[in-house]
Amino acid sequence: MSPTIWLIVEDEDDGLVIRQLLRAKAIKVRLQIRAPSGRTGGISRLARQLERLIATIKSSKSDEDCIAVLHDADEQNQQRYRGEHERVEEICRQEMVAEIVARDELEAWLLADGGLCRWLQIRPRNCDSEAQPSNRFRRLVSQKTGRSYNVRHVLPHLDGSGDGRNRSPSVRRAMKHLDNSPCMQAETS
Amino acid sequence: MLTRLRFKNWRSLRDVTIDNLTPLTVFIGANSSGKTNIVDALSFLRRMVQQNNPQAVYFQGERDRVRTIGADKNDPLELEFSFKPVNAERPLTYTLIMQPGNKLIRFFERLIDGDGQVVLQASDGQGYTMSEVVGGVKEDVQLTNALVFASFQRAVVSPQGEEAYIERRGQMYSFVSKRWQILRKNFMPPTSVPIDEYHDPYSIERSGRNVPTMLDFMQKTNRAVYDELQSDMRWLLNHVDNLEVETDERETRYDIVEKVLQGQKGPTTSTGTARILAMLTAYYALDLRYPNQPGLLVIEEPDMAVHPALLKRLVELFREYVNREGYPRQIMVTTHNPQFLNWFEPEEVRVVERDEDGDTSVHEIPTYIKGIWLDSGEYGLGDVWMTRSLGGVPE
Repeated sequence: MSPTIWLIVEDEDDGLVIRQLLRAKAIKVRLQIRAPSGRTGGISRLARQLERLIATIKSSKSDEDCIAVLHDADEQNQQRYRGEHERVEEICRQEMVAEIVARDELEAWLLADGGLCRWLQIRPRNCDSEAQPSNRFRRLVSQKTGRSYNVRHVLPHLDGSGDGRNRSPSVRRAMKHLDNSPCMQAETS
Repeated sequence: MLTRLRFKNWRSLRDVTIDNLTPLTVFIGANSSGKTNIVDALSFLRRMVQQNNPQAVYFQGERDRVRTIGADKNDPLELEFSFKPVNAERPLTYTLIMQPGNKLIRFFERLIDGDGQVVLQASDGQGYTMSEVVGGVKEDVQLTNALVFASFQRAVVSPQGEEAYIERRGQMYSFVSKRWQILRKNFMPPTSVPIDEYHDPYSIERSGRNVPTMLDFMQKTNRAVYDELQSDMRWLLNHVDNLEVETDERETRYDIVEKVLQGQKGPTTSTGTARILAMLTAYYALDLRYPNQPGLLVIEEPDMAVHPALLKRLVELFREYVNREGYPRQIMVTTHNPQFLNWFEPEEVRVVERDEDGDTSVHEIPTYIKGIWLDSGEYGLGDVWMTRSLGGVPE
């Protein structure tokens, strides 16, 4: 059985994107998604529930598995929720779990994905430092589908190329994190 | 009370055992995880016993849909439950085995006592023999009536005259056929039924169709029980003043008299109100006959169409029902609703999941969940469920 990455995300959609990216890159790993409960709160919810989420996973995971925490960190968000971001960082350090930060938002990763950009008929590029790329991204997807934004329209087009040269350093770091995680090494060894 | 359930080759339940059942149990899981398959198995068993003709029940459109897809063609389908009769120290275990043959299914049944001793085993078909094992001595009794559940209805007295076993068989038959009340997920009682339709006044139909008949019968035969039902209805639904049931030359109907209408009947009954009424009717029908005998109430998605602010009261009422002194009752429900789940205790929950092969598994909530999430009082089980930490969520 493949090892498992237990990925804690702010929102379930983020986990679905990561799952699709791993599939697109043919990385053989089981991904178990965990997200804080409740509708609102983003990073606040994550900061409040993170220790419990990690403790729950640690109670059932096997030794080969690993845990990673993924969260957004655009500049505006980071200033406004400085305390929460620091708390997440501190918990990850204390609990020795990988922290993956999407700069600025996960949508920046998507705008760097070749397959998705082909579908959207735009040029893939590094949007890591673009302010709130999600608005632009969601508008593009809505225009393409003629419907309100839904991540399900996006997933089939992802080819996982967002970590390539001149694309998103943030995606590259995230993928490297996952690739270098102990459970991935167990899989490839 | 049911203490254990086991299913083999029943739809997605290829080999599933559910142990340590509590008086109140909630099954949670994603859509199509197998919750309804559990309820349908109980319903199937009940119909087998009630109709006393397993072949007929099996062939009433069930044949091609009940066996697990991909199950070996010679592998039997088995439904088993352990049941603790009143005042018994250990449960009896009943197994119904359906063995596929060339064209026919053969049915076998087995009843085992708490010591592992076979109390009774029987099969259908020609030359039907029922074996009675009492005190280590096997007695074969030939029966002319070749129906498998005849064994439960006939008092077959062994030469030793073991009354205790006969009593156990009677309890088992009565428990399954008369004391299981099952409501399927889309149950919705009508406000009236024509009087020329026959309906059982004691046992609720899965759709809730016979609620008007049951209420009419309850009102006429046991006013105290009917009043208790009305009292619970008022507790759950503040707008209800009382419930009026009447039969004329055409139909039996119920009406809700609303407080705000100063004693007048409401012109319509909402879906939630009607469903709550069906649940209470199913429960209180168990008090009409042999109220001190065990009763089982199975309700799929009782929270459907019920306001979230009422869910706490509903669960508290269920808990009150199963804890009533002298009224051994058990309630099993299913849900998709985290707000409903918030009011349950971890040991009352069973998580239903399907694996990559499509097979269902059922597991308990790990004990560490309590310490990590629940003890602080900040989160309920439903909140934890939504973090995906319990399983039983869509992928």
